[in-house]
Amino acid sequence: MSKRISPTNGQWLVGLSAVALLIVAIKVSAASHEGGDPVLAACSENNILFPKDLPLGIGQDRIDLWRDRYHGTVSAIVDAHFTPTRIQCTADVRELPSGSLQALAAQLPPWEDHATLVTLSEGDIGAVLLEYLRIYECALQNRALSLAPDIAKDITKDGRWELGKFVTEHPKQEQKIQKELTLARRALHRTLALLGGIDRLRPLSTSLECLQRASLDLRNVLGLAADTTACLPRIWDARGSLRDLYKP
Amino acid sequence: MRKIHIILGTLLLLFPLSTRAAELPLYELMRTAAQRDLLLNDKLLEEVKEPLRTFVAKIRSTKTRTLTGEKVDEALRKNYLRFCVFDPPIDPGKCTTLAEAIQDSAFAEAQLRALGQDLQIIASGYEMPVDGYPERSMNLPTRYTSLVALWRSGTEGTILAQTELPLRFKTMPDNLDGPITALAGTLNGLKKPDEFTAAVWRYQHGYRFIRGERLAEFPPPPTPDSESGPGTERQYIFKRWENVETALEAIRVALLTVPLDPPLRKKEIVYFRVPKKYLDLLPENVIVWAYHENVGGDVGISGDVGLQWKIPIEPIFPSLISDPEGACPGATPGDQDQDCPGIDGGRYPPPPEKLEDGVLVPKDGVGLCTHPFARLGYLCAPITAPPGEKCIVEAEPEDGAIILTRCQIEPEGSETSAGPDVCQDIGYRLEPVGVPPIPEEENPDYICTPNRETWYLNSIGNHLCYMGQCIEQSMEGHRLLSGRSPFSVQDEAFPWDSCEARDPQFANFLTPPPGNTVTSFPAYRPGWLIQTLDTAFCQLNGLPPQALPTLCGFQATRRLTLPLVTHLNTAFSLLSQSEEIASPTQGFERIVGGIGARIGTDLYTRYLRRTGRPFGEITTMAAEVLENLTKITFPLDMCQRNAAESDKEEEEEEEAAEEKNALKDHERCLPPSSSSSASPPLP
Repeated sequence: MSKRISPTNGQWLVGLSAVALLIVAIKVSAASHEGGDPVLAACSENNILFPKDLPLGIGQDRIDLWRDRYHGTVSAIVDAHFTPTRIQCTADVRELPSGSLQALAAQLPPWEDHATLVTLSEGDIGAVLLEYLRIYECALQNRALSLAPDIAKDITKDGRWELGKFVTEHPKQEQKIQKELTLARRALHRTLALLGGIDRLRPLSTSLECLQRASLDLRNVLGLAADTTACLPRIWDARGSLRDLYKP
Repeated sequence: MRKIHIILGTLLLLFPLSTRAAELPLYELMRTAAQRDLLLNDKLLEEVKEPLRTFVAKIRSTKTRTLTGEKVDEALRKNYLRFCVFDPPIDPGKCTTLAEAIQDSAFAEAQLRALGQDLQIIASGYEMPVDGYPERSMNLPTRYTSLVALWRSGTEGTILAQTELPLRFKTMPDNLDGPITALAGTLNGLKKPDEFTAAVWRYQHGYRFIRGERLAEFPPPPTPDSESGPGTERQYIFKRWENVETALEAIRVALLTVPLDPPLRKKEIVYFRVPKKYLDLLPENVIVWAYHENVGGDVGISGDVGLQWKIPIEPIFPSLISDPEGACPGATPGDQDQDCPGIDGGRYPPPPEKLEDGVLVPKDGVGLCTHPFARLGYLCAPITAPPGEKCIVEAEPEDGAIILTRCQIEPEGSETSAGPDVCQDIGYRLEPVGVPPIPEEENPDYICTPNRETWYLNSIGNHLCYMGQCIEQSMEGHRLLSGRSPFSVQDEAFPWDSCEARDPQFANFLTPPPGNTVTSFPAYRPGWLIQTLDTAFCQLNGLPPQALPTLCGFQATRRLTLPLVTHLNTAFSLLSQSEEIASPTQGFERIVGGIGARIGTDLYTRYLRRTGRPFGEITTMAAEVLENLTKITFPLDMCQRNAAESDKEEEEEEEAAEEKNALKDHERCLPPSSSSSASPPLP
């Protein structure tokens, strides 16, 4: 005789199944992450990198704020790429990431995990910046999807907002988003085209730097050894090994 | 009102106005360029930059209607209420048509310039690490030279003189403020962006080269032909700026007075490093370089001074407006030459060429080979073998082709019976300290004589040569076995010398030489590369890789064999087939660059692997020798190795050593039956 499942029990089963599926999904996700696959987050807003609630400056809108933040961060990272970096010559030769690159990567989904973050090198600049661009584009696209309520929220003061300002701001920001979506990608692609050309020899340059350091060490050691070797004729001289032959 | 003035004054004091913009970082340069390509300004509003702005206004103006730059911007912003205000008035329909024509012209020209810039950036990315200018962020030629200097032996001639650069660096002196400031002022005076860009490129190989003052060493640059003079698209490629040349000459004149210690040897080059305070004076993204070179003969000290980009991202675009100098002499030189005519362009004149030994060779590009590092590259190396080299494959130049050949350089160094002798030319300088001069003082054989200070260039090779010399000198003056010193080298002072036990330290430091020091280039297989491309092409079209390349193309007749319901649909489908093929074609074009880059990298890796192994072996050997030095155990007894005087205890130890060393009795001059009871040989 089969037992009739009450609606309450059915809800429990559905709930348990959902929890089980969630656990499996998390495990699968963790397993793929351990394998080194990059984790691409969903295209959604990121309130940490591109906050929606920071106060705006005079004559500034939300897009301006995000633009300044995005381009400023990318510019700082690219500049740091051209300054002398720290090179790790022991074990695997690796160019340690600049502070700004490390700080940005730590906030991006693929490098949020500490184990992945510690393997970051300066050579990963392209991947990090492209991921940052993707998140920036997602933020802009999300803004475009909910532009009207977002603008209303931005221009609300003391619980009131002006219709006239809303009417001028909406098309202005809409156009700005479309232009910025084209411009940001074009500017970064160009930068990466140049960096990609230069950086193709970067591992070689890093290895040569390590070789140069090792050569300097070797030269110093051999200099000391050569100094010592100068004593050989006297050491081996059976008549008086450490006696100076001539004295002024 | 007074209060406002006070606040404004305070703000101005807090933020002093600068006459020169702060240095733009790379990404900001790229962003600005991207904005320019999209015809946008910093506020993301449509705006055309010069000289495109003036050019579009000129080509769209008529006899009755003169357009201005502002009108061009209004047309792009589609602000017809402002744009369509003309005197005499214009029909609204014609006005919008004119605005669209302006938009088309501006976008087409901007796209062309964007393409030029993209190509420039690709080329710059590939060339910057290897072009040899000392101020680059990554400079492999300088690093190679530094490594060679660290490892080399000798001071002058080397075995591979063709590949080594006798080079030294020296920082520019502090008294160049005047010439550098003058140069910066001259460059800042070039207000037109295209002209400024062209001037920096023009002097990238030095002002003396442009003037033809290096004729004795290098051929002069090409002179402009009828298609390259003023008023043509190429007008800035061949233009000369006398004031820039004068400023560069002043820098060279000042540098010629800088004392060099020691003086430059023949063929030696000194590169002047530019201090940051001088670089800060120059316009953004521009550097100045200078070097002297002792070419010997009648010329003596040569070299050059020139300009270069920190990061070359701006090419010389085809000129859009005629230059006032020569092209429209009546015009008032202004910032954008409003009075001069626009240049139609689009003629694509051929590159300048000259006839050399019956073959047309490009006249341009010779400037590259004047640079110390670049002249060692294959682009500047002649195909015919230079003196002292033997080319394995004799090749003839071909039009539009890069011919690969291989030449074997005959070693210039001396050889001994043991192999090449790299210690011939160390250039020891002996400084006697309280030692009376002796005839052999200048003889390197005596560099390790006690109380003698010896000076030589601080390098790994020289240290090793010095050590070798000292060891050799030591061996010549002593005997390996303790006791009396003989009269001649390795003379047997005692009859039992030959019966000595083997030296346990013997050959401890000797390591086998590196396996293969000969290098060769990996095979370049163009046929295989084409096959790889064919395979990729087939895969893109969904066909198996083994299919013949001719079959892998897109079948344009497919729609005819599978017609749609109506003829009209079939016809439209046929028309849209080009779009269908466009995507794989584009993908194919993109993949070609990727495949090429990977193949090039692979060739490079294989070359490095082959050359890196012997080098790694050498460093491993050096590390082993140094490690062994720390493991030396000196004997406590003076005559431990004298088998004749060993007591029983020592014999036991010796037996153990014997087992270890597998010495046979006859080697120790002992009877074969019982080594322990054998009486030692008498002296």
